[in-house]
Amino acid sequence: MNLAAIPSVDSYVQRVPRLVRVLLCGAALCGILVAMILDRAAILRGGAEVRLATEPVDPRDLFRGDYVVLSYAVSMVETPRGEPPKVGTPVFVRLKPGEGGRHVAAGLSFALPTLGPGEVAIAGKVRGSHECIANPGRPAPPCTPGARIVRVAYGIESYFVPEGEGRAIETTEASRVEVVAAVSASGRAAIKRLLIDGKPVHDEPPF
Amino acid sequence: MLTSSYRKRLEADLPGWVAAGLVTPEAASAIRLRAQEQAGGVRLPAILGMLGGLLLASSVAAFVAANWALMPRPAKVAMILAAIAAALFTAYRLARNGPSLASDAAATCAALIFLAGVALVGQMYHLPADWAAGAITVGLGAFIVAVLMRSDGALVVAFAACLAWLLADLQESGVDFRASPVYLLLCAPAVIVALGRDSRIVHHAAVLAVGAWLALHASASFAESEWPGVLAYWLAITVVFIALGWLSIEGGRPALLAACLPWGLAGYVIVIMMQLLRILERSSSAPGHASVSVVVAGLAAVAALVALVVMARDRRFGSLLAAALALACLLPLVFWSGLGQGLPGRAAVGLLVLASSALMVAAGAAGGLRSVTLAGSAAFAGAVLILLWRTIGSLIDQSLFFLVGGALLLVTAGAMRRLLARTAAPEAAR
Repeated sequence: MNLAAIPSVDSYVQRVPRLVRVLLCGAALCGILVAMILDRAAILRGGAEVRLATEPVDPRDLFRGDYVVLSYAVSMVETPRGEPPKVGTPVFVRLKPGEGGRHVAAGLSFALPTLGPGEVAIAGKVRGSHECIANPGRPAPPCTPGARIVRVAYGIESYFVPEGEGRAIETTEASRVEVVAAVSASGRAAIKRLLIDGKPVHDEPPF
Repeated sequence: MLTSSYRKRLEADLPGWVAAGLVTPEAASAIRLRAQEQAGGVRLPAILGMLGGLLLASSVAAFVAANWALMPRPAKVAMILAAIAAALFTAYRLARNGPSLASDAAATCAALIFLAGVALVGQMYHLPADWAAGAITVGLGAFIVAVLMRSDGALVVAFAACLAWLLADLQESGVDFRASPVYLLLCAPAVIVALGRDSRIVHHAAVLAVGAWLALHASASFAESEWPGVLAYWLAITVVFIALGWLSIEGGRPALLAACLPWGLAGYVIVIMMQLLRILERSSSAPGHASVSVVVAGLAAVAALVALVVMARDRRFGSLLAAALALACLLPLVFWSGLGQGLPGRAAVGLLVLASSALMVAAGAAGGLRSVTLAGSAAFAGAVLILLWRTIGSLIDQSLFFLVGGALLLVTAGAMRRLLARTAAPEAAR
């Protein structure tokens, strides 16, 4: 086979007028960016609200500036003893309203679960798992000894703030910081509000 | 397009050829004119334009990182979209007389601003820190620019995004280090486009992107017991790359495959050095085991060696190179035979590495290919240094090993000299 005789992709593309190609290119690039924004706005506008307890820390991203990494109480989900799910496996966590209006994890499943009144299913990916161990002479762990604890990421673990503001949130006592997230019917989540002492400090408009 | 080093060499050689009567002054002038035409004109403005575009894209990236709250989000998004449109329009204007380096620079700038735009949207709207999805998005945008604007720079950005996706996907999986086949869906269209391009940077980026995917098929894990198989697999891949690179250089087409040669040679040096280091350590010289992918890669390497001998136009170079690579391919067999943990196995690996690299130097000299000579020399020098550092047995054993090895090489050199003198065609017959 003579590879040199095969026409290149460019020879076909060149048949399209140059101006049309430039317009198509601009429409594609701008379209992708706008689609990203619209997708997230749809979650914020139509998603069910859940209130989550957090534990913030403040790193810095070279390309994206200051952001607060949020670890949630619902990031650790207790499951019955058994084969641990593989890292990266997509899962759904059932959230139910708990004390003080904060949602707590009520179960983990690999498909969209049937929900009870007030419950919301949030989609995530498995980040790891370990066994809940009770050490004699130490305080009891916040889980059932012997149960498997699965660490789940929901894609709402980063919250970007203006330069320098990340530190202020980081130094705030963990129990005072909460997040209100919007969760779509398919389980995708987006941060809607950041609360300190129950009062909004950052409110997210759809656009 | 001619490389600048070749043009300089041509400029230096032409007066000598004219003086020797090999080329007429008129022919020399015609050659100079042709070389100038193929050089692509003065590139300085385009190079400065490319660097300027890079700085502009960096400026947008820093602006994104500052997360400047004084400007409303829609204004920031509009600014990014306007910057993309301006860069594309500039590329359109500059390409009025056909594709040029300057129009390529502007189109590349559009791809880089799109990359910054993805980061900006992710930051402003707190999108999940999903590196794999981000890399796919950037890769898709850069690929669209590369195809529609015929931009080589954007194609390189697309390959870089492919590699970023590969690493992000491996990090995501956490436990299985085999590259996902999905990668090929992203990478294959870009490789097909790259086949029709003349840019050497694009060719190298394409080979690197495919090579990384192939290299990550060695094993699901990098546990100690897997390493002999992993190194055998990598060695087989480097053999295939070297053979493909050489056959492409000899055949002239496809030019993209010529970029396989330097990456294959670099891989060859690294892998045989790793083999030598591992055999000299008792803890890492165990046989281990091999997966199916190692067997498949091994068969591909054997096919590549046969092709090198049968298809190479320069038979002497092809045979020497094939012999050098075949000796290297015997290294994994020493590990798997179980001899590796004793003195005979260590001596065998040492000898195989030295013999393979010496043959590689000879092949490079025979074929007039500096990169092959350089790789052989680097491997030979590296092997001697490693053997002096880690020693095969006692220092006396080591001294004996070098004595035997040196004597063998001297005998081979003498025999080869006589053989070449006997087989060389008489001057008059050429």
